[in-house]
Amino acid sequence: MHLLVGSLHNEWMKRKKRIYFIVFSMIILFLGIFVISILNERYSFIPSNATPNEAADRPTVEDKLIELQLIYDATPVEQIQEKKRLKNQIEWYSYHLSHDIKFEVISDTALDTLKNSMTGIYISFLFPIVMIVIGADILSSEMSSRTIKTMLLRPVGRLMIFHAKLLFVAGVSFLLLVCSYLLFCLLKLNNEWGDWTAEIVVRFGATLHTVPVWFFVFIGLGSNLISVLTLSFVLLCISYFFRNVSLSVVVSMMLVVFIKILLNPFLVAVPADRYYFMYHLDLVSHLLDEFPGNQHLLASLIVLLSTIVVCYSLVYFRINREDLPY
Amino acid sequence: MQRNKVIEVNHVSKRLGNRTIIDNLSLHVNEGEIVGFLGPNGSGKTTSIRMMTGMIKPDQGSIKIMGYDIQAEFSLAMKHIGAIVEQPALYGYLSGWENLMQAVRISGMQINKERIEWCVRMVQLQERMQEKVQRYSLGMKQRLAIAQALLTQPKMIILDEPTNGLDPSGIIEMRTLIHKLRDETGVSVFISSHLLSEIEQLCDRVIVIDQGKTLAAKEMSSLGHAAIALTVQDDQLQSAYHLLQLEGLHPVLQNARILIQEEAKRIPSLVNHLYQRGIHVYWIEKTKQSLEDFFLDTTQGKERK
Ligand SMILES: Nc1ncnc2c1ncn2[C@@H]1O[C@H](COP(=O)(O)OP(=O)(O)O)[C@@H](O)[C@H]1O
Ligand SMILES: [Mg+2]
Repeated sequence: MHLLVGSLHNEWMKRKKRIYFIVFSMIILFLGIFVISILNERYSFIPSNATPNEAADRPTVEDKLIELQLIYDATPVEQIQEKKRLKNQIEWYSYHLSHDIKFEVISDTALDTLKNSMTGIYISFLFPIVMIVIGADILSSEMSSRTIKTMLLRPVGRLMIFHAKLLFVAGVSFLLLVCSYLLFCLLKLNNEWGDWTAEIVVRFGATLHTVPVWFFVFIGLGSNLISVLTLSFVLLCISYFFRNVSLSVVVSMMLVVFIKILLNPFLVAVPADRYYFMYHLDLVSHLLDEFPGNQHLLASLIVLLSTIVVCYSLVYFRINREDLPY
Repeated sequence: MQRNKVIEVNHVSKRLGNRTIIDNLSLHVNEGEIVGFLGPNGSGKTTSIRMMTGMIKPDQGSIKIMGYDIQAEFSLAMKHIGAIVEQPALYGYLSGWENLMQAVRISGMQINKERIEWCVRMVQLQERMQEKVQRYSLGMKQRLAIAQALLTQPKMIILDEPTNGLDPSGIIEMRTLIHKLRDETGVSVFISSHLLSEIEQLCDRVIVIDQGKTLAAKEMSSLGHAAIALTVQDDQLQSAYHLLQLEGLHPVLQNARILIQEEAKRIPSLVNHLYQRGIHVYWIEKTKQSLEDFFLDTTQGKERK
């Protein structure tokens, strides 16, 4: 335990400049967006009183339902997938109606932003890139510069070194993720904060449930944590087996970022997206009925957990047998 | 007196890439001893040290540190040794102090500030600790690595060619440091080198290795003292030899020289004595009939086979 804390502290000292840099760039980025949004509002050509407050302009749930029903009826029976998806959506909206839950198609409070940012492209594509910057070379850099020796010559043991690095990448990434969510919220602070206890609808398995927003945020963070953990295991595993800094970073980029582009042409023939972890990082979308595939939350969880198990066992069975540094 | 063995290497063999690098190597280091590990480049010194520090696994044999098996009880064993394997591997972008702290945090024991500062003073880096290590000279890096190895008050430190690449003054500093360390703390030192001259003055005992085999181990005190070589005319060699024998010495003929073991203060009168008998001494040299011959004898003798 003592050794683990010490190792974590060491990792922090080695990487803190890089982490500061990431935080700094994030803050600059968000400040930039913030300034632009303010300028946009002030110098916008659209008269400012025309857009926001008039509820009549916004589509209501009833409108949306009617529209969906029309599309559903028009869809041919052969398109089973599409029909199923539309049916789910209709179910989704009617649930709101029947349970009398406030639903706005466009909403703009800070909490809504938080809710929306926990799902979608951010967690499934952009944040993995940040994680590559944090830790894709965390083991390979020490192996290639041989500084790994300083640790190998201490009574910590190799597995402990691996665990510490893994925990470091996962922990720092998760903290950064949460911080970036907070920044997203801050952007919307000139709008209202939103209601923590408002109810929202989530799909869990075949049925729909209502949960308060705070609970949703809690579950969302948990799902994000699982995604971050999976990515950390994958990155550490790559970093262990590819002992060259640039190679490990490139391989990480290939497997994490470009794989979707590479795989897409083959997806018709081989349903790789069903089993590949990158397609399952966005766990929250299952809850909001927005998951692009047609799998259940459980299937996604199993994919992520098996990825973790595979990566860990690969390292576990190799690390203590190997002659290091080679 | 039977002293405790700090490290014991028993019949260790190792193959790397289809070649037997270490072949049935056995050695030990006693408490408080400075042991030299001598061998030409590529003889397997670093490979042996990597096995002794648990970085690579021996194919056969066992290595015990303070009675703990380096493979099975890695943490317990490693607490007792500090080591530098090949060039010191330090984080160039961190300060000297932070590099030490990196080692402190994963040493598995409480190390107080006084101890760290003592180690720093020992290697005389007090003034440079806040500087980044990438600005250190090689000698300073070596010394910082030694400070790192000393932190846990180990029973033994293992140094792999610590003088490699140092300039002459750096080599002398390193030697003084190692001596001081042993005298002040009683730590055993296992030091590898391919340079005889350094080991010779430093060690209590040397172990010679070549092509992965120990050729010999020798107490320094058992090596012969320096002899004195007298060069005379070739045709007077025999008569000079007999004359010296009559003086009660045990001369040895070597090439065109006569080797004798004699105190320095008796040399002038001895030369004078020969001169009066008509034997002219042209050169008087102090030979190093010591480790150098021993080393050359053993390694070359090996090669001829
Ligand atoms: N990983 C390896 N694979 C194959 N051969 C190796 C490896 N490491 C070292 N050797 C060989 O082992 C021999 C001994 O190397 P080493 O222990 O570094 O010698 P020394 O430190 O005495 O100069 C050398 O001939 C070297 O080429
Ligand atoms: Mg070597």
